[in-house]
Amino acid sequence: MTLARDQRDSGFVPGLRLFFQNQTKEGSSLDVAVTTLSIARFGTGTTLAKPNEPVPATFTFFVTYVQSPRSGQKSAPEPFARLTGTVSLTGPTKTPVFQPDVDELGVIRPFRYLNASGAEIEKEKGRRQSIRFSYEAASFAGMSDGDAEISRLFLPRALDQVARFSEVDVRLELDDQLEAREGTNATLDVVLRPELDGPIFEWPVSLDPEVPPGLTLTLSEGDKSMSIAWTRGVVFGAFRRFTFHRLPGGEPCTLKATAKQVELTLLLDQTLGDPKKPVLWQHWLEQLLDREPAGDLTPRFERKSGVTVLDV
Amino acid sequence: MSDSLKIQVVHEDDAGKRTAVTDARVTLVRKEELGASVWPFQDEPATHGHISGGFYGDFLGLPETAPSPGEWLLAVTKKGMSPVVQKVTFSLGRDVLQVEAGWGKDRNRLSAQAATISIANPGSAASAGAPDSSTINVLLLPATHLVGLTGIDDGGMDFSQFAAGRRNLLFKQGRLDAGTVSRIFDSKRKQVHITVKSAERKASSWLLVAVRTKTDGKPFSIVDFYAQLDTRGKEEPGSVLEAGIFSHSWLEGPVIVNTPDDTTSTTERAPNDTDARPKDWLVPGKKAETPTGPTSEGPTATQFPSIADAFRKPDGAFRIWGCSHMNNVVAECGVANAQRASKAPRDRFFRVPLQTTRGDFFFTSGEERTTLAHVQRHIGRLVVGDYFTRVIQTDDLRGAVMYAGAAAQNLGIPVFAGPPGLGSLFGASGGEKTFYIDDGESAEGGENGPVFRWLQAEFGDLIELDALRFLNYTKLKNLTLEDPGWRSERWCTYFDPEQMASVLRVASGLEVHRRSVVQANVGGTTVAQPRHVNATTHFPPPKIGKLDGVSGFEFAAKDSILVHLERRGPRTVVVLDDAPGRQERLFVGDDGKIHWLTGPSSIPSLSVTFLGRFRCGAPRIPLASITDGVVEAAQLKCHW
Repeated sequence: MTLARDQRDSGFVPGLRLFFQNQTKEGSSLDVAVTTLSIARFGTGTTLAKPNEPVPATFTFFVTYVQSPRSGQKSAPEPFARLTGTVSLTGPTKTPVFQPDVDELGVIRPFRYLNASGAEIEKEKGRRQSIRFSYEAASFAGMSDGDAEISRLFLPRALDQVARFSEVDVRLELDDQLEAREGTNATLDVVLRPELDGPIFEWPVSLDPEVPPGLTLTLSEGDKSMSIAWTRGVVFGAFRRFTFHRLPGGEPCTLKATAKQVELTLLLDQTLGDPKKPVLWQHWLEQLLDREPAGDLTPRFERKSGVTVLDV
Repeated sequence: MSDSLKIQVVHEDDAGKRTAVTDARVTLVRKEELGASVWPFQDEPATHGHISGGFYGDFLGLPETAPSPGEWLLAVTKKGMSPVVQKVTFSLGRDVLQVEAGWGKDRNRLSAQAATISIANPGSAASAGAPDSSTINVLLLPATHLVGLTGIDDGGMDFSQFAAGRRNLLFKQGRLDAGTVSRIFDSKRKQVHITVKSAERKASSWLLVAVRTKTDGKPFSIVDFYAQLDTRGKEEPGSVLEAGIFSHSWLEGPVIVNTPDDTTSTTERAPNDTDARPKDWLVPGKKAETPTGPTSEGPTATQFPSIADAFRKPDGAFRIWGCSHMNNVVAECGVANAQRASKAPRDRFFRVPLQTTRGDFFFTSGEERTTLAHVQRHIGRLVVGDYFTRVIQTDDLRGAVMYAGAAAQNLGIPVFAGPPGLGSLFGASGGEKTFYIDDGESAEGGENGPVFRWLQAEFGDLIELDALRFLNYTKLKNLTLEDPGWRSERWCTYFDPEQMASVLRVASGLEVHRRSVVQANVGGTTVAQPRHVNATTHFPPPKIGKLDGVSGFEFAAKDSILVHLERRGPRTVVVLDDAPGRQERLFVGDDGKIHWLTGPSSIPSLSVTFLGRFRCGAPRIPLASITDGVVEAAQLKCHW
């Protein structure tokens, strides 16, 4: 890669920029943000994009891990995904428009992940955090929010288990030249969830209003154990998920539920993941739900019953 | 994909230990294919067989039985266990068929999930960050049932709210388990509502699993209730925790629709009668008395022989929630308490003024001459007596057994009803609608106090009241009645609106009826109606006297003339008519003979046809006339 203009190394540089505009978070708990992407021009006459002429364009997404916002300790930016297409300046206002690459069938080519194969990404969808993208129609041609392959950008897995936050940044190259380096576009702050690998359990979210306060699930495997409060379970659609990522899960596990000084063994020495031997539940979580108390049983008068029914 | 769905069936023992059930019948059927099947869907073929450890798999292996996205119904049954039926919606997760309780708008709501169902999805560390299976856990518990029947209230009260309230309260108290099946026969709606507890914590949250609407247009009858209990007794003995009738009630029992007992049989039910009758509990083979004489038949009990078997022992209970109101009992207890306080001998006679109701008003209808021993016997016979007859409302002075007493004698399980004489009130307990018996300390139940005090004083430890002060009649089953013997001064007067007569009842049980009728214009037709009077105005208190050297009491009937004498089975009724200025007299001797003192020289004696209830009529068959004036020679014993 060559730098087209050295002056871009310092100060304000005109050209195209990618913007993130966060929306209200919704959907799965692993969607860490919902963001609208738009492209804007800074300055005039300084972009590599051309009026009404598609120029090859590549967005390269970087992630930087932040151990603590206060400490300022950051990892080096790591490129992890690319989106390719063309950019042209259209109309009398010379509005930049990105047109994604398509395959021979006309299907948009999805994000290309740099350190993981498509199969790996597919397999890990359930535990990778992602950014849900929405594309501003004026900047992105033919990119529907409903297209799963381009509407979710899966983040790398934070394997070090130390970082709590990350920053997602973008580099834009036009015609193999740097149009906007990372740091000059908008940056998206992402709160990272713990690494989501380990024994997993789900219960319907409909239990939420019913479970006793302070309910905690504790999974033990050998001499290790991990506890997760009910409220820390991650909601996936109709279920609340508990991932005991500190446990390997290969040996028999015991799962206990504790609330209000009552402990209930849900699983006792059960091996997870054996399709021929499903886990045998000792007790159900529902057994921790208190019955509604009867309260004061002293009968009190409400209305007099009839006593004069004549059987004639 | 369907392999990812696991159905696990377990049983829980009394100690809370759960073990795998290997022989349940498991049916998973697509909603569209249910057709005319009804809960608990026993007519649907089983689709899943036991694999191991309580897990059931799709043994048919057919595409149409393999679970796939959509709405399905899971039915798990096993003989002797409460059925578990759950609507489920399957959807496609990543590689897993996800399951949620409920259909449509109720999907994934605890209110749509049975309390015997738990959905929990496990996954291993190798399952790529998501569960690798969806598990439907099913809990089978020993079959338990709650059966309720509601009556109809002319004032619009919906008794089903009391049935539901009782169900909810029992659940709050932990007396019902997660699998209990509640059936409420709702007379107002002519529907049976079958519910099971939902997984929601709220005690009032029940899943309506079936509604059975009566298709013959007829209202429910107590017989439908008996039939349900009989079925339970045959199919699932020991499974009914409680069977209750939520309705108005009186000493003949619960009023379901308020229909007449229109039959001449003293043992059989009238075909169209919906209401409870003491004769329902006649025990086949056991001698009992009726207005037409002794019987050992029990046709209703013969028709439904397994009712008692239906109940769980020892805590299953039969409950009558309405009134047991009796004015005479309230009056007797009040006076008897005072006599006890004054340390009166048990055999000393005293007077009890009697009041009864006419519409919403009380009026004095007569008086009773009784002793502490007679009161004990009289109230005791309401519970343990063997005389099955029609009584007047709201008194009994003929020694009849109450419905609750008869049920207790027959069933042998706890039978709870309002204590003899006491009315039941609408109220609330534990946050739920309920009938209850006032303790007698409030304005609503002020008349109850003397009755409770009397019951405790006379029956002591045999009195078992529940928290709502309903009495366990069965605990009184072996009550020992006092035997005051023959006492010629035992008598009472009262008004019987059904006979339309003032009544004098003497020690032998012989009654003298003096008609008291008023002609009323009802819809353009002249109709005879009872003219309510104080019977004491016709039958003033007797005088002590002697007849042929035998002591006794002489009674007078003012402004009357003897018409004839009727032999009503074992009972004798002397019928009088108006005769201003005349007076009839009879003598009740200490020798048990009852003499008519005022002639005529030949008293016509008739055998009459029993018309049902306490009525008799034509044809009247002449018997040998009475010429010696002795209209009855009673055995020297206490007769009522």
